Amino acid sequence: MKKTFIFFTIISVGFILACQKTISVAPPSYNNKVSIQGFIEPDSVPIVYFNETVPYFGEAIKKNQLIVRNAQITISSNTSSDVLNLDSVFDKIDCQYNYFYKGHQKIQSNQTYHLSILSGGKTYTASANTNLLAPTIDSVSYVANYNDIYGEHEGVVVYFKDVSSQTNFYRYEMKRSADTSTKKAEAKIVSACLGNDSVQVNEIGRAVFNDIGNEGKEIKIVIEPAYSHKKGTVGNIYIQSFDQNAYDFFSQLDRQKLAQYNPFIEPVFLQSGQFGTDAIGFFSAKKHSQPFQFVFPE
Amino acid sequence: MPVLIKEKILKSLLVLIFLMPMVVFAQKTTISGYVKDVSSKEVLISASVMVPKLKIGTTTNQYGYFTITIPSADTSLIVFSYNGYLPVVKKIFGNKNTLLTILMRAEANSLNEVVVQANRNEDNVKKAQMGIIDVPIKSIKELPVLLGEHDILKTIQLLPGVQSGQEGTSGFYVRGGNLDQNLIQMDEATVYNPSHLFGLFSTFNVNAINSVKLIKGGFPSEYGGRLSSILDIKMKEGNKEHFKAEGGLGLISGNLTLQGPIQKNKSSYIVSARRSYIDLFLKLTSKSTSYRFYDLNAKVNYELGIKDHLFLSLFKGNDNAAYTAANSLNYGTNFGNSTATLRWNHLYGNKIFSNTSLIYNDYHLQLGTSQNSYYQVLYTGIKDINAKTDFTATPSTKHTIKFGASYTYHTLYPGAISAKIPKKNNRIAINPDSLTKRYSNEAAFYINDDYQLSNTFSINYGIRIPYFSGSGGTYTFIEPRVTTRFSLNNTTSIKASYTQMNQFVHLIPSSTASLPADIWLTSSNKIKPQESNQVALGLFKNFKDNEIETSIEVYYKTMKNQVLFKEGTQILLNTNLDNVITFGKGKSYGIEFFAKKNFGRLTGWASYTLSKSNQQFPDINFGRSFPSSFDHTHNLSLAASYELNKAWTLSADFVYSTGKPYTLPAGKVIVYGDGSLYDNYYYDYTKRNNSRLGAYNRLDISASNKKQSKLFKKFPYEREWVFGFYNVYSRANPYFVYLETDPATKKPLAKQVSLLPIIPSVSFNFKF
Repeated sequence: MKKTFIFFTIISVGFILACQKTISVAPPSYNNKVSIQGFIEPDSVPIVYFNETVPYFGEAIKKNQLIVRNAQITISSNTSSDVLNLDSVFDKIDCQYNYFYKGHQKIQSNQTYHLSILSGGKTYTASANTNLLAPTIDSVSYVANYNDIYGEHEGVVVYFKDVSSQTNFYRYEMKRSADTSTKKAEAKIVSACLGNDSVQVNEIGRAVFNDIGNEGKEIKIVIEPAYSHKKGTVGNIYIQSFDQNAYDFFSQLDRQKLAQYNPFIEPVFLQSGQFGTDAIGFFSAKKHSQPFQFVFPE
Repeated sequence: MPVLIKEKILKSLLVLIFLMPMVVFAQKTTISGYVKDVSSKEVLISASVMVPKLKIGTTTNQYGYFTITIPSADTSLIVFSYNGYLPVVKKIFGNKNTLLTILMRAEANSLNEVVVQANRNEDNVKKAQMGIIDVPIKSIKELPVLLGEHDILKTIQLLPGVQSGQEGTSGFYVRGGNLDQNLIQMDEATVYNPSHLFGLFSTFNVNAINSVKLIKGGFPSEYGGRLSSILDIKMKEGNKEHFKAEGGLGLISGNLTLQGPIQKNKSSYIVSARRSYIDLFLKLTSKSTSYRFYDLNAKVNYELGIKDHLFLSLFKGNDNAAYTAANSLNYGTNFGNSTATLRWNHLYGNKIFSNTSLIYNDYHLQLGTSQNSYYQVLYTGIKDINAKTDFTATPSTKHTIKFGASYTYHTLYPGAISAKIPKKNNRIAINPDSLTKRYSNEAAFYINDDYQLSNTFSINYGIRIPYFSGSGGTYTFIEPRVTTRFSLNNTTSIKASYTQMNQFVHLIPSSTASLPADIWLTSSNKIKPQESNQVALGLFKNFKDNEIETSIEVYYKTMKNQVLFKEGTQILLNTNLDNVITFGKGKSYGIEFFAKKNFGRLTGWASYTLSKSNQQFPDINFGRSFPSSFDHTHNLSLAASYELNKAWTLSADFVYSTGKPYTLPAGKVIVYGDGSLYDNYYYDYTKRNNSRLGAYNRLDISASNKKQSKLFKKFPYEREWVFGFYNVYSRANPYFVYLETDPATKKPLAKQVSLLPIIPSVSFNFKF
């Protein structure tokens, strides 16, 4: 009986235990593209992120190595033309410089702006209109448990009234401070550059929303905070309003991440946007709501 | 196929069918009857019936019945033959129509084989049929199998044009079609999930099976409802002479089959049951893994007279399993099929055979899967009530006309959820009673003529008219079917076929889930029926008095209204499934080589398929064509069995196929999202299914030892020991690949999960 038991145990364990190993895969062929992210907002100077995409199976690369240098980037309207220059800001959390192209002239409301990027012998163009209105945040609360397509999570609940005169696309933003005691996406912030300092962070909601079916009505959104918080942590909450080009872009990013994490979802291919097949990205107007100060209750 | 050509084919078929009655009635002698095994009185399906003098012949139908009409003569010789049986020569006197029961005796052992010229089945070259393969039960029982479980579907996977799914699964793909495009019928009842144990074994108990026929092209018009294949399985009827018992004990399950007469030579029964017992051992070794399955086949039949025969067959199979594997893969399921078929065979005169059936089937699948931090729960329930009647008329030597009608009332209730695993693991469960039911009606009418124009040319042609109504959609089609045969000589023929098929039930496949996560839906106003048009051309050649059959077939198949989930679809309980599906087209073509040795000490076959299968959807892969998930360019299967002596038989099979396609990101995109929950890096996919898993190959071997013995020195019985090794060289065949980031180098890593290493087996079978 003992031998039979051992025999069956060996067989069943061999059967149960699947094995896994690291394999080398032939990297799919890939022609590098560019990624363009350009938001313009009234009363701010324009900023455009212009980076290169790289093969997925290539060498590990820092994000500040992806900036495309020597690009000629111009943002113009009927009344102005602004040539953007390469600029940078030091990110204390990532401990590196982030590069972007920055303009000199403030964007005006109710104008159509044209973006033109000349780089590597190619030209990328797109347009955006700054005639957007921002909604007003009515109230903000907090729930410890909330269930949606992202699973079970805590949530910052924001109520705001939709702007009825236009088709709207929205996104959540919170400005607050963070330090090395703060966790981002449940991982402790580790940064040699931060020391005991605290820095202001812009927390951006991963989901984007539209007002289809809710035109002019009060809209409720529940956002999972990216950074950890304690009782009394203060943040200024904004609702960003932008146009459909940015919405389509961020919506597919969100759906792709869901598919990337959740093995039961079909993969999402990033579609060509305003710039054609050689570029991924958007050029869009943006308008922030007035800030709403929120204090975390726990 | 261009509409103009299709219209011409339809018109020609209609003219031929219209003219049928004008050519069929002439004074001849009709010989008809049943061909049966002498010892059990079990009917022999697809037995050959030949009149050598006239060079005409037929085969017994799926109920063992034949009818052949010959010119009146004083005496006629008819030769009956069946693989593994001694031939029977019958002399018919006079001009009277005759109803016979032919009893055939199984050859004791092929080592003592009696070779009689022209007695071997030559349907391969003589019949206007192609893409049809009868799979001998003997082969199924002899080939090496996983854990000693004889498996019909594993054998089917070794045939040309048939491809296996993932490692260890018993699902199969035919000529570039998806799993749902195979209609699997057990005694005419549809079996929606033919698998046990995560798909590792088929649900069919070989001891209860009489015949297995696979049709993958050149579909006669009595078959329909699926695009790619029909797997027609017939249960045994039960021994009408003596009580018999047979059974077996394997590593994971045991089975027992009892059969015998209820009223000698008039009625009989067969009951066959199989139950796993691995769960008893797993309870001791693992808390997270359990396997339990059973299946039960039962059938009774009663001969009311020589012209009337009643059958009642029942089948029930169920699985309960939980499994834990690599990459935190978890899988729990409960699924089962239940079917019941009440059948009445009746002879009208001696030229018209009818079969009328009432069929019920009930299928449910409850599946919970989790991988990484996510889980999916799905439930599919299907209930079908089906009534059908089929007639076979043989009005002359040259015509065999089949016609009939069927009606099915479908009830489907699918539901699914996919979400992140909650912190307290309180996952959402699906209550089947709360799911919205989809009701639909499916009906079909058909007529088919197998017309032997001359010894060298024959045509099998017909029309099937399916109708579907449900969920706001109503569809009717006219499906033309034509297969022609032109004999170059006695052993060689060329055949060509064209078939159109439509399908109203759809399994929506998931291309990303590592384990089966598919959902069944019926057509609706949004989900159009799938349609295929297939043309095939084949060269068929037999050697050494039909001892060796060979064929080369090329096919080209187009498929419309193929279904896939839209990109990024996350199903929630309230998701209207009709709205998350996208529709496209498919195209499949290939060439199949097949050589089979039917007799002698060494039997077996070799098949090689070179094929391509593509799909194209406007919403997927930027609207460009891509290889379908079941596209395997090369498929090689070798299966052989060698009778070493009267006691020992050695068997082996080898399979090789190109790896399954899957999708890898090609590029990486940085997006500045400030403090988002996401990591700012995104995938740039450039093509769906742009990579392939490693090639799949495996060698299995087995040896069996048979011996006649006596229990307690008194009761004679046959016992058999079977020793085997699955995956002899323990190749780590790929099951799926997932991506990780190397924590040290920050470079992406691909990890391959494999399931089944070398697995030894031993089983003991007995027969009284």
